[in-house]
Amino acid sequence: MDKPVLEVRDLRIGLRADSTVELVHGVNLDIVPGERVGLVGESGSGKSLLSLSIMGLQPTAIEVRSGSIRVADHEVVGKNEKYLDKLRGLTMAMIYQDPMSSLNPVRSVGNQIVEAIRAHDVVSRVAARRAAVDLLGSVGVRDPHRTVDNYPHEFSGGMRQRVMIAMAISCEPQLLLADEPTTALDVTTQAKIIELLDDLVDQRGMSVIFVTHDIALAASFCSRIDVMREGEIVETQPTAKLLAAPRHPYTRALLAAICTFDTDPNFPLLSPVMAAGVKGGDNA
Amino acid sequence: MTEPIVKVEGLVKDFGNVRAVDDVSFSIMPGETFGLVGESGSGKSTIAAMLLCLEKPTAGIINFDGTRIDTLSPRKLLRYRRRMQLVMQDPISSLNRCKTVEQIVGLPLLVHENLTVESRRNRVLELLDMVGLPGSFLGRYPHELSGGQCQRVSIARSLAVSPSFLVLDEAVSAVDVLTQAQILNLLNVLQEELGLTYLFVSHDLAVVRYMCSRIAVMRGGKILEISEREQIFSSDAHPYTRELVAASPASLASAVQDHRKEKA
Repeated sequence: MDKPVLEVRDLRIGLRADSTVELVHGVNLDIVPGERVGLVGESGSGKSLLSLSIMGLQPTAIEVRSGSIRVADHEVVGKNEKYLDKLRGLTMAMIYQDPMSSLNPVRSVGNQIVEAIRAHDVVSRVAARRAAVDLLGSVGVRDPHRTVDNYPHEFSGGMRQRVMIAMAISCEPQLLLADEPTTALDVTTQAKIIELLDDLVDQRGMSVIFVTHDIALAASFCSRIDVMREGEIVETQPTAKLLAAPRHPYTRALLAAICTFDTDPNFPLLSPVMAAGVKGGDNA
Repeated sequence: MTEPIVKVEGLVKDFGNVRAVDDVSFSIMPGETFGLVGESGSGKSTIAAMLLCLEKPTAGIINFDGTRIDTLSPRKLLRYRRRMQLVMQDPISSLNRCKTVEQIVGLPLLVHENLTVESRRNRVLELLDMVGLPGSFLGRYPHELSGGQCQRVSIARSLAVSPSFLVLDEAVSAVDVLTQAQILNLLNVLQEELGLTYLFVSHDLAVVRYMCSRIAVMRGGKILEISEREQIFSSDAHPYTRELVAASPASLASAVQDHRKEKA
């Protein structure tokens, strides 16, 4: 059995200001090399908190109360920024939802990738720039020799997300965290980005945590799906099994809520019984 | 033969030297849900804005219930405005965060109807009930509500002046699947109860197919085709329509899983 790239043990996350508020309740999560895990849940289920905590990037108002997060055998919980900076980018990297606000608007994308490379690697500017051009080419940015000097606003949303991906994979991390990487894009662009991620992850043998509220999208990319709800992982199954035989009522509701091309337009999406079984979310 | 409630002919909109909408014509029948689908930048929201007379068309005609409305004076337009309302994409930023639910839902009544404070409050309560929110929400502010609840408030506001035509501009794009399902169900129930006509704007073809009896596919400001619900799957559908079908997460999931099985 491969040694896991990520081991999360009994992780509890809560509000720093109020010890009675716990947001993630003792989560366990293992990811082996090459595995792609979809972390699926509604907003507020704790999926983003979990992924941010793995990067050590949880908001200051949030604290990790107990438990452990080991990324490639390095403990993350309780470590200082200097230590985490060595792991970020090199061992684990993250792709965020909104590429426009995650890129620096006043620096060319080439310089931002060069910065990411040189943060971990002793290479010359010239060599790093050459690597940046190659990376942009490999994520499907057209004419990378020219566009390497462009600024984020000169790219479309889909292209910006490709730049983010180039930056994330620049130091060949073992673990890639993608937090709603395609939510801000429209469906055709989304399909292209998913295809790109699919190829890159295969080529480089990375493990992936794919955070999304869209279980269909997760199913299109992930080998396993973990369903999160109110700070707990309520179901973990290989994708095909989860789709065919969901065990938890919440997973069943999530699946029933999706519009597919087979959905009968003459019937409501969620039966009232199912909707009643789903606490939280929209139930007023 | 019934007359269309909305009829658009040769609609054009230029922003500077960019043609956002290019010679678009369609009509929507009473009680129908008409879908407008396309990528961002395809011009679908601009069309929605022109139908509601929020943008002036560069050329073309917009008829609402037999009357040409794009040339009406603001005064005369007011009468038509109450018959067509809008539900926007972002449920949180489209509500004034300094106002309570009662003030938000009651505002259209203040503009269009001369009611006493008490009868206005009763009408707001009635509207909240229609969208499945309890009366205790009257005094709440938007930040105290979830995304789905905000969208319900938005819908209640749009229904306040008893419109016959609603423009739903990406009305469920910013919410979770579970919330989306519940909002879509609500819209269908309201349509049946109130005899509403919808223009349903979205980039998600699976959702559009579920909601709409007829679907217009847009790209680059033009309508490529208008088809009946199941025609989007037919072999003579426009290539771009088929591309949209293939790109939808709904088909992506099965396609990629098949692909993976082949590789294995």
